[in-house]
Amino acid sequence: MTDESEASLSFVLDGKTVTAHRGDPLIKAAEEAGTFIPRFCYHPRMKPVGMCRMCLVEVKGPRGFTLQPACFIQVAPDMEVVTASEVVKKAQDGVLEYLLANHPLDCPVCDKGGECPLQDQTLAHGPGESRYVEEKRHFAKPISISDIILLDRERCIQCGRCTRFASEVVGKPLIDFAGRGDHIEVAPAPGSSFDTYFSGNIIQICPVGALTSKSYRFRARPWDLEQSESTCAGCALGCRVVVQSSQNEMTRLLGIDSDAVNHSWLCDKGRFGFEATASPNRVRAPHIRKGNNFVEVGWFEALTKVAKTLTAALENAGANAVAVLGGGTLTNEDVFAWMKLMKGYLGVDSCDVQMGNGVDPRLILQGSVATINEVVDSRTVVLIDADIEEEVPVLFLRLREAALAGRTRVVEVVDHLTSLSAVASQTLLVGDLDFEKSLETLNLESLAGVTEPEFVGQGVVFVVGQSNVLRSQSERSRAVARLLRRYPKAKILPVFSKSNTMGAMHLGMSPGFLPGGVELDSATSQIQWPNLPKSRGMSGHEILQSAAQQDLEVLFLLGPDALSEYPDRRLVERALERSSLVVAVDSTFNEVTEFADVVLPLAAFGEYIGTFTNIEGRISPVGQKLVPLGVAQKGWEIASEIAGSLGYDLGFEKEEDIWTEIASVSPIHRGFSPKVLSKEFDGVVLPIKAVKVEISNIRLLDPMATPGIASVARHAPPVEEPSTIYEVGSLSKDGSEQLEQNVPLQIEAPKFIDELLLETSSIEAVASDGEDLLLRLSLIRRLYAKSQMVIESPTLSGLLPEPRLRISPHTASRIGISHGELALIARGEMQSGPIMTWVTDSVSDNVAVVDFVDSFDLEELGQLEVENLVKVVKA
Amino acid sequence: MPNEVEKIVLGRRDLPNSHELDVYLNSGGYQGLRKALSVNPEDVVAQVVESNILGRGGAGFEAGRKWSMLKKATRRYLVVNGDESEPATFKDHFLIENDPHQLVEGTIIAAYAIGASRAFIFLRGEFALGLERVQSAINAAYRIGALGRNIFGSDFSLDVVLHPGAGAYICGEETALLESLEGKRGFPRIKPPYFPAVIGLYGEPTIVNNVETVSNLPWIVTHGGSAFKALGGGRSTGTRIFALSGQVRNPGLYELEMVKTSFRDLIFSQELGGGLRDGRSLKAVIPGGVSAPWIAPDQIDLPLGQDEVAHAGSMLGSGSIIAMDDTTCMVRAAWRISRFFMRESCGQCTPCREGSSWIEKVMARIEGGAGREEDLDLLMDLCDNIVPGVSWPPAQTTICVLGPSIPSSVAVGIRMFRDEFLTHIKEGGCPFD
Repeated sequence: MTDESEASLSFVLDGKTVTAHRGDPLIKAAEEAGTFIPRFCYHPRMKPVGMCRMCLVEVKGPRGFTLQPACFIQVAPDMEVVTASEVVKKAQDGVLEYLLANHPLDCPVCDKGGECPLQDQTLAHGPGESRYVEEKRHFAKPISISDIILLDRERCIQCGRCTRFASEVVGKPLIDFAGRGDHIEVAPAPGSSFDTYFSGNIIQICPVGALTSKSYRFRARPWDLEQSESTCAGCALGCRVVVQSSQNEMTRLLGIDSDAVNHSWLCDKGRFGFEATASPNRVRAPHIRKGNNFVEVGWFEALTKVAKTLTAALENAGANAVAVLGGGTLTNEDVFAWMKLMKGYLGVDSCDVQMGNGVDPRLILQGSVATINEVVDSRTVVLIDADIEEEVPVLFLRLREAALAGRTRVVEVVDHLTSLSAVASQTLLVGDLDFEKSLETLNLESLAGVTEPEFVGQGVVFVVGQSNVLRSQSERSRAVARLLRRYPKAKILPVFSKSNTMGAMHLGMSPGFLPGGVELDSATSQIQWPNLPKSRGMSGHEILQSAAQQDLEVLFLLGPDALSEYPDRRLVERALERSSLVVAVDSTFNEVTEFADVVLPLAAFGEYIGTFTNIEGRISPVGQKLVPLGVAQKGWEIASEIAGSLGYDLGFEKEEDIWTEIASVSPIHRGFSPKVLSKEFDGVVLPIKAVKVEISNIRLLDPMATPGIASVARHAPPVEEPSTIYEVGSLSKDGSEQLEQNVPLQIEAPKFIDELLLETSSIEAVASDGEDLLLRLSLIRRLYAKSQMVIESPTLSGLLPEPRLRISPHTASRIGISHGELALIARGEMQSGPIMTWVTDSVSDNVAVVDFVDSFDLEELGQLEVENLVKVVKA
Repeated sequence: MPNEVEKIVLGRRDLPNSHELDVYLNSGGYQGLRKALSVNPEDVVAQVVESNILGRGGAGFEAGRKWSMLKKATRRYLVVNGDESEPATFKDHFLIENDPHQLVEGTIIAAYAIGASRAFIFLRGEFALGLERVQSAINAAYRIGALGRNIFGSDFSLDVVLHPGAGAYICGEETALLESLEGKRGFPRIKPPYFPAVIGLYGEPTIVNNVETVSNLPWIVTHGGSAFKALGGGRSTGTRIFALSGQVRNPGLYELEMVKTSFRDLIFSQELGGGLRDGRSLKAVIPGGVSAPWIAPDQIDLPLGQDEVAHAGSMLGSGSIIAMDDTTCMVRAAWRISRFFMRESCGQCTPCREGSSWIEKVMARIEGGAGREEDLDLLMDLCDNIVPGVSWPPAQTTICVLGPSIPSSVAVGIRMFRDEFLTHIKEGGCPFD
């Protein structure tokens, strides 16, 4: 602990001396001391403004006690504060009455009714009757301020939470106050709408029903909603959420204020993506292809077909004739069951959660992974091929805040300017240079003032993104390994696009690995599975190539979006057409299930319980609110069923059984159990360290940021339960001593770095195509791409962007194409459809940067070891 | 006998073309600045402290003391507040249009004294002629070397930027003015901590002075602080412009020695206000702008001094004095004033935004004949929610002082003229119609 007097102080609250954190606003200090001061405009994650005046309390100053806004003044030593005097009560009641004067009181039809702070505080403090007999203020209602959100200006109490969120948290002041006096209103800037990836947050933080989503409006009453804590499946950041449902239908997702992860914010993909669960395209029952038709069959028939083909394939062609792709959207429990089936019973190692354009598993499994809080507290963050707002949006909010506060210097090495470039110390555009070589030029010592002492403790974090889906896993990983050799104490944070890619890698869903990062050739006695793979299998990219060459008998596609990461549509289609049996384990019918021979119905988000592991290695719970649709089953249940059809018993009856086995066989999961998880509000970060973890049962949530979680009852002082201290090791069956041995502590550059660097670059430049200018193609990820969460959600499906081609002005003039014209991207004999040209300084010369919204029909686009050079011509 | 003795700020009132540079230079223009530049900035501050000139914007804080409180910093700003927009307040307007060089010279002196290298003159946007003339005066100052690099050969350099307001009364509130000057919406800042002298324009220590205050500086520097202090009495030193309006024979601007003259003298003296029109009798006086509580006819022997008026429960404020005779409907007067504040509330904080509108609606209803007797208690309680205790000087639940300005006339109207309010209610209409 730091010096007590530095960190804390005491002040007098209603006659009692209490302690507080130095620098805290009085409203927070009082709340922590058990006194709730009513408020509307204050939000703990934004700067105070003191506008609503609801939190007025008496503070003693040089001129005696005066009324001061408790949100705006910092608590000071020996400050005397009175929160319960007649004067305070009169002032607060006065403010409340004023707020109600022009409020429409249409509570019976208002979505907020029942979870409304204005309603709650009126109930607690307000008069029973209104003295206001004048005509109320009128506005046209509601007005649309974006594709997603409606604004009812009559209900607005002008707290400015939404406008501050837009300008302060997102950095896009697209909505602000207009007009003045009692005709002040929140309005979008003329001619624009509130278009950001984060728009839904303003609905959640609105203290009244002024902001509503078009999809939730008039759908439910808050008191009818049931909820459970869960983890967002929208990306790999693992934002903490509550899922609310009514009558076996999910109604909405709300962000939980997790200090470690999302600070209560969510992106719109996460907030509205759950709607995909109710899609009419859901798979309700198993289907098999009979001739040219897909017919619905029972589980028995479907499983029998899978088992028969699988057995034949293994007997005739061996383990290399079977492969598994996908898995990044499944839970840890699902992935483990599938890996036990594949690697433990069938000896199949060709299982890959990545598609050849991700990162080498050794970087994740053997490297030192930073937590999100370590990233935003580090002195220097190097974003490598990372467009954070498009990949893991809420991390963008946190990094932007850290950069603006001066805590963190952001350095980018990217193919195009990103939304973080504005706050970055330096942005290096890769251009048409070799990626590894351009990272060689990165000199952190001079660029960001990194000096040796900073490498200890809070130093450097390399955030390894996957913005360009054409960048190969080996190219990206070698570049990072090279950096790690130069900065051995730096940590990395991998960025994945799917909710559980990290968990899948932890659990062995990479060729050559078993659960827990155990390498196949070094498999120890810890894993007592009957039939481990004899040799290393194929990677995701190799699996597709093998299938395209008709070398694959059975291909399993696990979970939604199993192939969505892959840019080359032709290779995918050839691979699926030429595999003898394609088994899609999926929740909706989609472009990929069109090619499947068997479709097994998978429970969708909200229909299963389990855990995800986010990019920092944090395991957090996924809650179930619904009964699976039709006869759909959870991923691990399907694995058990297939195993059963083959005559094996995976030994799993419920999710807890799976965890018991994971914790016993996986070194990085040692000590983990659902019981440990249930005690940790923010989830558990792997590997679990054998240290004492202190858990405080008092959590200060913003009652208005988390409606539904905290109603008026929460306004009472929190009940203080004794803090629990438990030792993770003692919960482990194996004891804590063994645990400590398994926690890797790395200071020197680990072995895998040298291994990675030994692998030589296989990139070969394509021969110049006559006189034509060849450009290096980058396909950059967009948040709204053709994933099931987006295209099956009514709120989001309309937001899918039209892809654009970004080229520099110089490149444009050399090609002879102008801004706004249609272009074709050509490679070999094939060319893309017409695409809009955007001439911009945000990219280097000689590159073509294209939004990755959907896969492409371009020759050899997926041959990631070949440099992706294209021609651009006018359409 | 009271009269307009020595003119300090209105000295050029009777000169033709007083806004032109040669007229200004021929009448002592820029002598104050030359003298200021010949001494240290600290000496200029000392003279202003000695003069004890009180700020002329309304709050009446000692200008020299304000300067001395300016936080030490490498960058400091001077902002001159010329956003005069209150009903019946028109003194700055006159100075801006008719003696713009004096304003510019005073600005340069103030900037020199506080060590600012950049000053802003924020003028009300509707002052079209004033904006033109002040800009001309700034241009002329650059031409003659009174602005720019090395002013009059000294080491002191200064740029002055003229900024037109965008039409909001609230931007006369100094922190709202700074927000507006920074290009933001004119929402007042919360004090503490946003005292301009500590955290002002662009976060730097800033002095905000009123046009009349600044216009006094050339004279104070030329004649010395003690010469200024010799005029007036008590804390209220020097002369001051009083803007007299209402039903008097001679409304207009009067520069008078402070304290030496009473309200009675100003309104009734033949040389000054000349008494009420048509021989009517006096009903009430607004002593310092429409945010000041009214005073009764039996209080008009009060001298025109800052503390003297404050002791009587009101304020001298901006020096705008409105005499109301017995033909005035006091309900209508209070309603009109509340309507002004309702329209000019910025909408930032709840008590002012909602309170001004609610009070105005009730006042309009009473004046229109639809009042209820309980409305008087309601009004007093609504006032209490903005100014706890409805006392003077006011406590406040609002961010800035626009809030406490709302209840003044309504509360004092009900207290002084309750019968007139009741007549409106009982007769179902305004007896003066």
